[in-house]
Amino acid sequence: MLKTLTKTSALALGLAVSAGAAMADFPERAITAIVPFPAGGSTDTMGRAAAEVLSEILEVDIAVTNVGGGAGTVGTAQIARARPDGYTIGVIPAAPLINQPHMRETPYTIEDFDYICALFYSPQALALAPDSQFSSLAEVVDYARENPGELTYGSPGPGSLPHLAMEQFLDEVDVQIEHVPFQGDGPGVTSLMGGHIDMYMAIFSNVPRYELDAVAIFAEERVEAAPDVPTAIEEGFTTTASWWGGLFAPRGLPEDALATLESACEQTAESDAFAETLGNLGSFPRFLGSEDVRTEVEQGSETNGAILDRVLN
Amino acid sequence: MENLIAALVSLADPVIFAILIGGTAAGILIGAMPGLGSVLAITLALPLTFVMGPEPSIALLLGLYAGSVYGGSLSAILINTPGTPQAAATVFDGYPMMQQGKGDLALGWATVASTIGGLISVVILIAAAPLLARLGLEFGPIEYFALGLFALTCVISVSREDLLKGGLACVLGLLVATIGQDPLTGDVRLHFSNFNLMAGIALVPFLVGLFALSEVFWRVAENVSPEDRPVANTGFKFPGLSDITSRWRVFGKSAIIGTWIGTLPGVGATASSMVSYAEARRSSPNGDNFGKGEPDGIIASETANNAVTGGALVPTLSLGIPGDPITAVMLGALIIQGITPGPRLFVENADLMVFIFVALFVVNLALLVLGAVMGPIFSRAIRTPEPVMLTLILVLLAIGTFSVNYNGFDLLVMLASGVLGFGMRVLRFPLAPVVIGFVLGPMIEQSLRQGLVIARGDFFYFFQQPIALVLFIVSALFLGWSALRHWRDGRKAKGRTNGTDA
Repeated sequence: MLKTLTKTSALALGLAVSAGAAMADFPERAITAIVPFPAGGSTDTMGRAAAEVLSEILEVDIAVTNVGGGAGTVGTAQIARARPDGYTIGVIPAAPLINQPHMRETPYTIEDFDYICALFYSPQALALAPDSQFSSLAEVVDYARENPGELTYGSPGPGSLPHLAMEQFLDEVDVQIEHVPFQGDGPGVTSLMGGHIDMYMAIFSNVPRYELDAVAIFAEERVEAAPDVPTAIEEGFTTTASWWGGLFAPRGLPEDALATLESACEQTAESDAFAETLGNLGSFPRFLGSEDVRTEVEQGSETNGAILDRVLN
Repeated sequence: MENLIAALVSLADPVIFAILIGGTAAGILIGAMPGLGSVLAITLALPLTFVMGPEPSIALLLGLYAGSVYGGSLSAILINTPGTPQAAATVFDGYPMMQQGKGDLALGWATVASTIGGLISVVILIAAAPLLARLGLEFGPIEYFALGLFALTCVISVSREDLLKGGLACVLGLLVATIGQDPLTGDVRLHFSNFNLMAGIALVPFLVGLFALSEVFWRVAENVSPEDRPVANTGFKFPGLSDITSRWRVFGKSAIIGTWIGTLPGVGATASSMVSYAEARRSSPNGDNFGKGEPDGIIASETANNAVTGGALVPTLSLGIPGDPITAVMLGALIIQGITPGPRLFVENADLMVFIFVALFVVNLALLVLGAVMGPIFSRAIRTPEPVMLTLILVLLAIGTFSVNYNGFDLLVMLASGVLGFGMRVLRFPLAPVVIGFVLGPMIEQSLRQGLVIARGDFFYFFQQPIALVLFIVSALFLGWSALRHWRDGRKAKGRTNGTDA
């Protein structure tokens, strides 16, 4: 009897412990956030700003680790390989997911991730060289139509989101402007300012930061930070494109961890501190839940895959 | 003026001053560890700056920046391994001096050169930041291409003993640099279907393997007993004042080259010290001794790479465009502090600007003192029994390499480069040209092809650009002059041999 009792209570205790383990509040220790780009870039600053707010909400430390290289693919691959327990997450902009797999053999596909949330975005904007003869997007298009291949535009790299956005636009209007890729925005923007290229496609955050002369913004609506810059839609075109990213994790996250991270992410997107830091960077918080991000990644991958097939081959 | 006094007052704050000195010392330490470099130093400090005010943050970051750039020279001289990529050109003459038993003096030259380079660049930064920033805009892809070609001519200086082997080594460096993504089309090259190779070979593991690991292999293979090693005079000795003043041309020119190249985004301190080295070799009266332990070589490299610190801040502060990866991280830190660098910074945050100038000035003076204090410690450290020291170095190399990207593949790259470097040493190939090709290759390739898009495929257009044309002519003259001298020396040597035979 006594034995049975002990057994039962041991069992009960065991159950309680395991239930406790299952119910244990995620997270119970520090989280590593991998940023697949070197320190100091847009993604890194975004990742660090997000990590600071997230760490307050989740009440654990979040260590930001930069794993650069291969246009973001090396770090992204490392996230895909990580243990799916919620303690390794990635702050990834869309390019390594929706562009790079179409350009090289990556050891991951978009199926290898659990999508926690989308968190930040910045629309693409086309900036002109300081002494440009143009004053509107329509003028650029008209000139390029009459003088095919004479104008040049820069981007932060082949296969970057600005590169694809511009190619998408050029496809829409069916004109030819030569692409000059740079190694990141620093060299690209300087070349634009020096008038070595005619225009530069950049994420909007670069416009106020470098005081660029933006001629159009590829968004649904004008941006508060630059109320004078018209959207491409206003000018009669249809292309919209943005640079965006969020928190991703290796596939197979426990449901409670995913839910906790997703809700923490939503709170981050709503936090004033986060909005202010992003505002300083010319970007904006934008929350999308787990399933919506998956859809957006799938669509983006399809659209950009088609553009890349055309542009690179 | 008010701002200047305010800046001095904040610097006199014991806490800020301690942070500044501590940051500089930590920077030297990190810089001296092969593999651990400036970017790592600053990234480590980044979380700290979130909780500190703007002034202490800036003091810390500037100290780490200048300290780490200088620190790289210590290991370059003492163990034939650039502690940071920026110090790659310091090895060319620093280690030969060490081998001649003049390591103490080599450290002294590196320290004096770093300080002078840093100070001159601060003065230029204060006097001409907006002007330089505008001038930097004149440099587009075509000008970068011409600059890259000019820097490539320094291969001749560092492979003087055997030009053919030097040239081959340089080609090897250029080839290794083409692994990975094509900078123009995005295609991946020479990847052998290996995902890691698609990302290309990273600079730090390649450099660390090629120089440091192969040096470890070499020493193990040589199996020198500690008594045989050239450990004489491994202290620290300042060069004489008259010696310094008599070399003022090298200092001045290298400082200007370093500051100027620092202002060009994306070129970096490694390339700048190579350009400066090439120019010093061309113009120095001691040009013949370059590569054999000539102080002018150390001066050219160290003055230029520390002058880059001031230069890189020019576009960072005046345009908001970072001059190198390190200032990019600093820029991020400033933005998080709510300070937006850019054309308006001089107006809106004039007090902070002055503080930056003063802090950078003090940091460079601190190098002189800290170098004299820390240099002997490092040089004594290398007197540790060889097996212990080599093991320690090995561990440091692995940690340093891994810490850049937390990528195990980098360790394999380091190992492979180490074996490559060892093989080259055995076959008496110079190592320096490999690095020169590796660093300059991507810059030359990308700018050439960008330039061709801009010129619509017309290469003649390159020669119609005045800045580029000047650089092309200087490079051609240098090549022609070197060839002429090579030919003459060859004849002279031949004549002498014939003479003795007769």
